[in-house]
Amino acid sequence: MPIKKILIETVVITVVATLLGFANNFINPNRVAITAMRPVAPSASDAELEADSLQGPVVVDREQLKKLVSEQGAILIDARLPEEYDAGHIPGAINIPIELFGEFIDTIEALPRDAWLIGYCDGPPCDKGKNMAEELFYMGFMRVAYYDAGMDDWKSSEEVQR
Amino acid sequence: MKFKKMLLLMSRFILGAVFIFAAVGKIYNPAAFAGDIDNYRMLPYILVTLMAVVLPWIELICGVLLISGKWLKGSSFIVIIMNIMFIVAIASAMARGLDIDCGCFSVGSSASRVGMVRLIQDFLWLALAVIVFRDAIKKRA
Repeated sequence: MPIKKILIETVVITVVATLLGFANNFINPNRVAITAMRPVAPSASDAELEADSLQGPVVVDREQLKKLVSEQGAILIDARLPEEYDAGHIPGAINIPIELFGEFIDTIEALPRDAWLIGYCDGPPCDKGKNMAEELFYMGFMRVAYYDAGMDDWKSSEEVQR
Repeated sequence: MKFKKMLLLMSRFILGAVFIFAAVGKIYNPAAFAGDIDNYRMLPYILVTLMAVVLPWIELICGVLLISGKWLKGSSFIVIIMNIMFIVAIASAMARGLDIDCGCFSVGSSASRVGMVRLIQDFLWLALAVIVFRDAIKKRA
């Protein structure tokens, strides 16, 4: 087998493709930012955070989350599995695994209707926090958000409760 | 002998056309393709973005080489590797019950979902690529 030839051709094709790919991505209006951080959904406006009711769940960033918790007594809901919750969660958060939503229905019904509820997961691409927020919104909770950047972002600078 | 030649020619042309066709939409929209790759939840994000930028061009170049009959050793080898990657990715997505866009031919919302059809298709492309590769390495450089 002409291994050397196969290798050379493979390497040259890959190098040329890499150069063309980067050139295209540089001039293309649909370019993707080459970065290690997954883009996070844009967070809510101040007006949305002060509203009595929303059109749908909104996204909050870390600072908005902390403010909602300290100033408005927001309830944090960790939508991950119990073992993930036990390994470390945002202080004060309760655990309602999205997979077990039905089993927690009594807990959910008992949550105050006028409180902010904020779901979260590890961060993109995990969308359990978003799914949690959507479920809660459909159940009639009016002020629902999710912390899209999630646990990955929280861990980077804040205290974790075990 | 004649049948073999026909089979080889058809394999090259079908495979080449498929890969060129698959590459064009992704080259047009690297951002959407990155989203499709990320949905598989298999790679760290830096590799997702690099793959979205480079992979379509590898597909395009290999497609052109396969049709033009140049550098068949390298191009068919790469196509074999790529198809094995695609098969692993799709099978793993199906095993994990992910209902996501395939990112195979078109990107974004118009893309088809992952599933058995895509898997079978990729096995077919793999078979064609093996036919081309086996013939290419038999010939003297």
